[in-house]
Amino acid sequence: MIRLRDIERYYRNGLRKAWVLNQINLDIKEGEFVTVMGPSGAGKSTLLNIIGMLEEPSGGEYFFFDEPVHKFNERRRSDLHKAYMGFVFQAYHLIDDLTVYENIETPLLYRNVKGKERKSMVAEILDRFNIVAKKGLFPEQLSGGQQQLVGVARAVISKPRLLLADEPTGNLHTKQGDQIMELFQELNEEGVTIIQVTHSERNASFGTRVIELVDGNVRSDEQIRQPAGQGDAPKGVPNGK
Amino acid sequence: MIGNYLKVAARNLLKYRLYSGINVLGLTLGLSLVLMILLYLQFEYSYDSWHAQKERLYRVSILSHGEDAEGEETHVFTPPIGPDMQAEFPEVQAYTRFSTEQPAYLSYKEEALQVDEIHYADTSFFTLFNFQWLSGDAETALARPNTVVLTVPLARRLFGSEDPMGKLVFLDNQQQFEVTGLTAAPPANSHLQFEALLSFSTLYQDSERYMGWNGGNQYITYLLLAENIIPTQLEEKLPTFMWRHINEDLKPYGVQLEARLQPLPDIHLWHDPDSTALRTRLLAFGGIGLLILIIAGVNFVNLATARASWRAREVGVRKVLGASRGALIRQFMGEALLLVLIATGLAFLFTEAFAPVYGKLIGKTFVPSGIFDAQTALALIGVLVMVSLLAGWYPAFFVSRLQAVKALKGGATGKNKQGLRNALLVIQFAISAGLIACTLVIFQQLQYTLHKRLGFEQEGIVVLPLVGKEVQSKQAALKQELLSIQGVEGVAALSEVPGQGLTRNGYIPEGHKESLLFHAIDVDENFLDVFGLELARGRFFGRARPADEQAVLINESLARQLNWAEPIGKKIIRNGEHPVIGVAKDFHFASLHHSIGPLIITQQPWNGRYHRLALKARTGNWERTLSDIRSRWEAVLPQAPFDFQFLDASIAQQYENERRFQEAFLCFSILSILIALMGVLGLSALAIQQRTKEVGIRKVMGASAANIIALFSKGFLRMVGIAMGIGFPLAWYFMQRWLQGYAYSNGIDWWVFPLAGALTLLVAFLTVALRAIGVATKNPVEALRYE
Repeated sequence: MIRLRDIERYYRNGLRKAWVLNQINLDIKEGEFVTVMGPSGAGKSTLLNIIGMLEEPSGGEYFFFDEPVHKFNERRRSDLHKAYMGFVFQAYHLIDDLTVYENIETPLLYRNVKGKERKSMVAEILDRFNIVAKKGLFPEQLSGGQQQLVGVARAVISKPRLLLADEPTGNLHTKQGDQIMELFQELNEEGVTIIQVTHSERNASFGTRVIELVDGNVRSDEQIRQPAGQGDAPKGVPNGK
Repeated sequence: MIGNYLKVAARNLLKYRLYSGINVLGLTLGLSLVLMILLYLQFEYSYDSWHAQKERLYRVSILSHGEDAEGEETHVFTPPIGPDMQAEFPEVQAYTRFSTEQPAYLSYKEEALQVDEIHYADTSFFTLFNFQWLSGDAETALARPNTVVLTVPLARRLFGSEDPMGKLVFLDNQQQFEVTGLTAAPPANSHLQFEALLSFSTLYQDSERYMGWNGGNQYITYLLLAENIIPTQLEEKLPTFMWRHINEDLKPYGVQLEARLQPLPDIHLWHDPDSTALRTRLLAFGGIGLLILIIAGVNFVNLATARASWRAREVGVRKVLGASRGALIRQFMGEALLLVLIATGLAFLFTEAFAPVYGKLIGKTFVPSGIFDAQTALALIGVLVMVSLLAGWYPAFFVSRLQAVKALKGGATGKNKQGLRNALLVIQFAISAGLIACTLVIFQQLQYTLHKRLGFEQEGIVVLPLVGKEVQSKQAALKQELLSIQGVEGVAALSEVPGQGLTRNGYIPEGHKESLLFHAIDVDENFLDVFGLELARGRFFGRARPADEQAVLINESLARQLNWAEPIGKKIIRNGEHPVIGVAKDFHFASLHHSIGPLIITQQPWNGRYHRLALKARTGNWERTLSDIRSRWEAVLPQAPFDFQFLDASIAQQYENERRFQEAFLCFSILSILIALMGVLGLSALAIQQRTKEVGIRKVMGASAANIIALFSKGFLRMVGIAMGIGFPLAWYFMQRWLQGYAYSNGIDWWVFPLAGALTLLVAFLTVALRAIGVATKNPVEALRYE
């Protein structure tokens, strides 16, 4: 699904370059649940943003379903992003002026989903995440855990094939964090590829593979569990597109 | 999608009340002012545009080329030019004539009214022009001699509830006229105004009237050209026409007349005596409207960008959720449009509510719904679209261009945007400071105009108009009666009142072969004393000196113009020889827009009758004196209605338009400054909010409230300073040009700019400081807890 070759990212600091990512080579297959770990400033978030097409690498090649993303213009990148990805943030990033319902609905608006279908999709996910009672509330009226629940619901409503999460439990209690992680596991079992950035070993244990970044380099990369459904035949997953 | 945008927009508006309040209110105020200005402009541009045949209607104007090379253009000419043109040119389909107004009395039974706007008009008047006809036959009403068409308001005053049609009214108690038609009063936006129209054919029965080509210039001629006629082609044929009819005869006098055609819709804006001043006013108001629009738009953009950083996170989130740039641009534009629409709605209500006040200010009656004609509506839509674009584009394009990741980190408050905001703020204040300065200059000039010594007495003089032959013939008796009133120091009879301009006539001074145009006033021997005029040399007309009957005085300007070092004894010729017996010191017999022209003072009024009495009184009780005057008047002239004016008031009256202009200008500039200040208030509030933490830290480190206020004021005040550097030179330039419209002015006083500067700085400082005091006096711990 994802193939990174010699991906690098640096910032110019006067004449010197400050390297954030250094020649990253990485392959991620569909169905994996990857955890990126490492100390602060190791480049974890940058890597996630590059994969999520929110940031451009300074060099290297990025293939997404074999498409050369590094050659695309902003519009095509944004189309790919829109078609395949969902994002979850540490700080939830819900829109303050929208209710729970409207926040969850927003990605569908940008994907031109028709009103009726939109309604049923939002209703379904509210039900699944057990937040039906909260749908009329505004973000500030929710606890952190509930907000992140809404954040995840919003990320997955458009049925993304890839879910990217940047410290999704960083602002949560352990118990709330576990709840989110279990949800991720469930989504992963349903076939959603997940890449999360975290400091927490505990969270990493929910995934199938752990990549450790230090100073912009991959220090270790190990598979800790067989990805869900890896044994089964891929269910008509397009290999090229 | 749109629903979603609207929801966010509405919630945003409610959440940031100060911000939205300032934005909506500022824009409402701005748009209301623009609407009102549009209303005014529309009114002035709509003059005579409602005549169905306006494209084919022209007024004949006459330009005289005399010895004093530059001729005066006038549209008042002799009666035959219209009929002769129609007879000789197939291009001229019809003509109508309209006499200049000559106040007169109309009476019916016991009721006698002075009518100022009474004119003679041809029967074709109502087929050429589309005045609203209510009763009678428009085509024939003025055909017969001694017929009159009345406007309804006049008819009602004269006849009460009686039906006026077919009734007989008296003109100046002498001639009888039959009422043959009723029209509505002419609309305000008509340059032709009348209360009563007498049939033109009546004039041909009056042996006293001169109806030929050469003389008796009292008539305005309008032509209806045949269809598809290019007026310039007709104008080309006019020189030979004029030569045949008059110029050949005028040749020996060195005067040639050139006939021109003035398109009807252009008359008000280009060919009226007041047109130049009017165009200045229109330009000034149009300019202010535009400036106000800029100020309000700048507010909008500034507040929106200042706040955009707050919404950067939302933009980031939306981008991550899949929003394209287009979608974001649409959202921000939509929000701007929503605000503009709300403001527009409010502005309409506002305008509707304030139309009467505004009408009073401008001196017109406005019907705000009248703004919905196609042209104005189009202009308005243009304005709205412009404001929305102006207000929406910056936040829309720039915020939407933010990179999602950066936006999410909230790092969107770039320095360059601060720069743009400051530049816009400077523009706003440059406009405000400039407007304040302009207002002061206009005020200063008006004060100067109103209080300048004119060279004659204005105070304590009452003018009594003598209307009609009968009244005029009893002038001497009336004068005797008035002199016996206690406190009355003198009474003079005269043809026109100095201060408001005097007519001009052609004279041939000694040593010249050709006639020259001089102003003339006909007075009796009391004129000098009543008006307190001074003589430079010679003497004034003596009492009971029949020899003086032919004598004249001239003013210093005329003596200078003729290069007469010793004018006494020289002769001036017009209907006989007139010896000069004295030179009067120059006085301002016209408004201060004009420099003092050449003047002849004679003792021989036209037709032997004076048209006014001027009475000078020294009295502590005007009410009593006026009632005395009235009772004497009624004793001598029981039939004629009594009317009077104070000279000083009627002189001030001619600056009425300017006073209105000044007041309107003052209002507009105060309001525009108010709008600009609202923007500053909003910006400083945002700045203070964003720096609450900084203020807390500074206070913990020992900053006083004054330090904090200085911290916030400094930046704003520096910008105001820069703004004045831009605004004042522009104001100076425009005001210098404006003052050129006055023959007499003080120039621009030195104190204008320092005062304008101080005022601008003061209000700007107060606006920022009021907001800053709140933060500065707060407990720092509270400020820090905000984080």
